[in-house]
Amino acid sequence: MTVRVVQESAKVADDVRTLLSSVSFTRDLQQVDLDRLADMAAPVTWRAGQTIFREGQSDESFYLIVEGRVAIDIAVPRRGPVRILTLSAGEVFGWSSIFHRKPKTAGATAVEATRALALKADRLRDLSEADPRFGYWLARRLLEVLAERLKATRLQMLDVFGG
Amino acid sequence: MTDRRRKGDKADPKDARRTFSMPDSAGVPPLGRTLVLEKPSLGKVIDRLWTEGYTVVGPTISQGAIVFDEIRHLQQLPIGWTDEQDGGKYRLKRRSDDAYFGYAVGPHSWKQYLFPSRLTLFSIEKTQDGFQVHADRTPTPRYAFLGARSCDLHAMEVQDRTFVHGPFVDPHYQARREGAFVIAVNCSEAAATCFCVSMKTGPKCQRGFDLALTELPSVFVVEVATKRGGAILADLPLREATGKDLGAAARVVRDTASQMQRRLDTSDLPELLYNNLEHPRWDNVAERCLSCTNCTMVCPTCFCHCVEEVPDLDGQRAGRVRLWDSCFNPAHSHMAGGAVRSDIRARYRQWLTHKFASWIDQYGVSGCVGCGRCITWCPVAIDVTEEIAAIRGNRSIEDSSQPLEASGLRSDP
Amino acid sequence: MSTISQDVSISKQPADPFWPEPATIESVDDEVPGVATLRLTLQDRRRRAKYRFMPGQFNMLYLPGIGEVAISISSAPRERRGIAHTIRCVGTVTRVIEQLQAGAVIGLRGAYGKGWPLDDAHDKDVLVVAGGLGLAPLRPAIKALLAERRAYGKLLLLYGARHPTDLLYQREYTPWRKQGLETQVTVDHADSSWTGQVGVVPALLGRLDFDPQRTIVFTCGPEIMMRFTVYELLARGVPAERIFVSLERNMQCGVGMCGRCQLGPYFLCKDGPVFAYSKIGRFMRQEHF
Repeated sequence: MTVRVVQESAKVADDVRTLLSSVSFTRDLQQVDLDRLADMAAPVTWRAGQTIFREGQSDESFYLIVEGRVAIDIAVPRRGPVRILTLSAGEVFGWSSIFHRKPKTAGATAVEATRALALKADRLRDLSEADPRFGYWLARRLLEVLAERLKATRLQMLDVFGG
Repeated sequence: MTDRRRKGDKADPKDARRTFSMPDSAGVPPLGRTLVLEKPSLGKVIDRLWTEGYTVVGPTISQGAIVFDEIRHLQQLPIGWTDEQDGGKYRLKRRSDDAYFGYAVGPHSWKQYLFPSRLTLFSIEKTQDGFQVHADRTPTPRYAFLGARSCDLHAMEVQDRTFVHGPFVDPHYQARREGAFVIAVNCSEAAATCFCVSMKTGPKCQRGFDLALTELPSVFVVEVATKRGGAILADLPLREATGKDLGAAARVVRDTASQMQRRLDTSDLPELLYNNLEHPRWDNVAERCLSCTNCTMVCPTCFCHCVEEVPDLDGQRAGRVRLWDSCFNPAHSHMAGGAVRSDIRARYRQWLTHKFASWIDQYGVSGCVGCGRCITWCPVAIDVTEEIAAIRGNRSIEDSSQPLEASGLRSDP
Repeated sequence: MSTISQDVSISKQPADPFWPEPATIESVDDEVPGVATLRLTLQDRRRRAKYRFMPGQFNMLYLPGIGEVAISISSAPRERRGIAHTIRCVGTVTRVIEQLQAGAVIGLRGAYGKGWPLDDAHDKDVLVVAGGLGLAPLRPAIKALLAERRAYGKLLLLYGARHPTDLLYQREYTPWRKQGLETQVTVDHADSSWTGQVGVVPALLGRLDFDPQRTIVFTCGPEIMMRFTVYELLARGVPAERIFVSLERNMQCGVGMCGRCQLGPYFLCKDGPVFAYSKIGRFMRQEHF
């Protein structure tokens, strides 16, 4: 590699590390873990309306949103895709990829121009198994996120504005 | 002279203190005097009240109970009768004497006159420009309540707080209340369901009357509290009450107080109920309560009502009609989506908690006056004194440490 | 606690509190499916001049021959097109209201109740959290806050509805933002043409940036939504004394006598419908009460 390419890689790595420590999901991680995550993360951008992944596809990344808005949608017969949740800066999606490679149960679409960090899901899994301390942190953090989503989903289910 | 008013009572201008003196030249006894009236002369009082335009209503026997109806003649009173009451039980029994008022209270209370069970608030007529509101033309009756007991006097004061002393005034109630002439009677018999002593609402009549009678074997000892009360007695055969008369009257009240069979400890209300909204006792009472609304109908302080629109067939005219309702009716708590209190447990809890707890926060006094009607007229004999004690966790009411205190005994002359 | 902004209407009520006053309908406009805004003016000129209301209060609207219903006032006190009431048309009376034309005359009693404590909000940040039709009784408060913008700190509105077609007063969001109300809108679900937020109000509240120590909250919407909103606010450290909810029960007389609207010791028609959560919370949390 030429010096210039090495310098650019180093710059990108710095940016990724900065982004990782600014995003609320990973904000409290220790430096050593941030470094290891930075190693498996890449910045991505989507334009407004761009499909990130479709329901039924498999996807290999776990995403941390830096800026913008992503919609999670489910295709409903005769209704088209129904947006059931939107996520913005600091929030995560694509978590199922960490645990399995089965097809996604919902799609993700960028609603506006969005920047995110894509982390390689299988490398996250490998790291968690090799380092249970990190694995426990990841599991706990995901549990917190999913618990909040479950609470919100319950309210959606009750259809409080019905009628 | 004893001060029959409690500290903090609002002064009734009609009760202005007068010095002790002989009857004035018109034969009208001045205020604040205690006199003795031959019992048959009560008939003349009734006649005079009718002549002055009052509709005299009082106790009379009908359908096996002592209920209120128009009284034109003394003989219509339940002379020589008494009542036997207990949880879910009411019977009339002949006395061995000819007492005019020798019984406690029946299913009726004065609320049916002040707050009629059905009342047209106004009517409307559709016009070119919209609609015209018409006042109901039925003349407001001027009632004379004959035989009002202390618990019911307190009940009227309690209902005044809802209909007259709040930010809005019900003009229908106010007109009936202001015009009402009240002849109170100090109870000589306590029913087994009475607990006015616990509620500090009797048995002695303290205020809220024009005349208060205590019945002795052949005379009434009469307290004159207002000018018009004195005026109605003008020129009747009266004499001053002697020490013996007053002693006898005091003994009647004391005996009645000692007959109380039920007690209710109010010292930890309202918090007792607010803190026990999930007490298992509610499940227990819910298994017995039929949600029949009897208790709210006979309760002299219950005021819940509904308002209905009653249109003509062609919709050109309509009446706005107020009807008694009850928190035991599911529709009472109805909202879009269903009733808030959808089961009997919730409704019974609402009634008891309102009566003994929320009422205190709303109006500064308990909603219960200890008349016992709800206990007598409950078809399954639910007893509020027992329910409150159960929620408190008392094994029996005798465990309650509240001393019995007959209101008014301290103010014996 | 300031009493001024929570007083019952100052205008003189007619002697008989049950009598309705004739009011002419200025307009009935559809808002969102099933919801319409009715504007009316009192017929009597003197009463019209004296009629006053506070944001958060309600009127009893009377349809002769049909019935009466309690509706929150949804206009600002000085709007010229009459007194507005945004109504969900589902019941006997409200379905008839929906069909009325300008010029029709109905009856009005009011204004009743205790409104939003705007005076208590001076120099504070105000967070308005609304759900569905709950934005209607908050609209007069929003307009009052914006009319005196400098008296308050940050102004935030978080508003949620079931679906984008159910969002009330959409044309006002941009003017409100321009006048200094940060406005965030969310829906329970949407189709792909919606580029706004999708998610329940309490969840969005969790992500909102506000200072719990400086903020007073006014919230109105379905009771479940308010309950979870309050839980979130308390978790963030907003004291219960500074959270105000607007509750609903079946109101019939509007004047504290029929007993229907009671919640614990409170009559919603005269002690509410706006309450501090510190006062009403224990009864709000009680099931079937």
